[in-house]
Amino acid sequence: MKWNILSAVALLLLLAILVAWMFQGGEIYTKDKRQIITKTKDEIFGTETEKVEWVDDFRLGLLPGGDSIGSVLLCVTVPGGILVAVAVAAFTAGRQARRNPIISKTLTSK
Amino acid sequence: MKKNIINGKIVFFMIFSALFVWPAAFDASIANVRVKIAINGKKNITLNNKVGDNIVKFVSSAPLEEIRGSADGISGSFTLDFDNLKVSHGTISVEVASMQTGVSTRNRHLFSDEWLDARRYPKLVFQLNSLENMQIIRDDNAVFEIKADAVGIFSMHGESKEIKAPVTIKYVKESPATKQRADGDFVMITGKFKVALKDFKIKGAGGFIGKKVGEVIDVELTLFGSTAQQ
Repeated sequence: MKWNILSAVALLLLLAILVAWMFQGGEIYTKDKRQIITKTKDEIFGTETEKVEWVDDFRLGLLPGGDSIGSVLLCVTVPGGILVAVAVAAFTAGRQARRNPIISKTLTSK
Repeated sequence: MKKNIINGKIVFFMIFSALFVWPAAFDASIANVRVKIAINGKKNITLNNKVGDNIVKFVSSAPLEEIRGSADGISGSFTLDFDNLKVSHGTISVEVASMQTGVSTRNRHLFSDEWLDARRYPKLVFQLNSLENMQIIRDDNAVFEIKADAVGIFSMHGESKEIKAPVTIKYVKESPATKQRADGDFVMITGKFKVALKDFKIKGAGGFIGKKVGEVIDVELTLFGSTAQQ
């Protein structure tokens, strides 16, 4: 039963990460800055001119934006992969526990 | 017989005008663009952020991602010769370290020796050598605007290549309105060109080019300057 709960929690966390990724724009790479382009009418030149600024804005990506350990974890695929592995392992362990209740009990008691 | 002589004269006139008169007139119209605006001689223009935000934007389109970036560390000066705009010349440079792509780690990679090698080649430089294919868009008492091809040498990553960038140059004479921003006559230049990374021997890290970074980078620039000495 505990294995099933662990498996369900891992899948829920994975779902939460995927939803967060989709709401943050579904970027391929994790980004930490956003380009803001402000267009204004320039009266002297009689044309539209642009001001480009970069502001801090974290957006989760499918793949890591950097190569440090921290950056690698801040993406969908790496923590998502770990969560899938945990869910599969917990599901498998739960199924084995149901098939062999004695072994399961022995392992649990140990 | 007389008719043949007349026909011969007409044919001779047509061939003569085709060979000498029309090309000369055409050449004069593009090579010696004479402007109505009351400006004469050479004008030295220095880029100035008080006139407007100097910015270079670049876009890399690759199957895995489109990278949009910009650079604002732009400086330089150039000379527009209103007696012969064709011989306009100057130098514009962009600091590699001012380039921003939206991902801090990617910026560091961009500056590294596998990409632009900012330590050895800290600037991208465009040396304007001439203006070609000029076309006057506006020419009145206060504003002069042309479209032209800026021909010059673009240097990046220690490599140099001649490029031809279509630009629009707008020259605005000093007025009470311009004086509120900065002294001197104002100039605004907009232009677009493409940079093929292989032309500048940029190989990048393991197979990135073509997958995560485009082989050709689209560059768009907006420059502002004034004739005032800074």
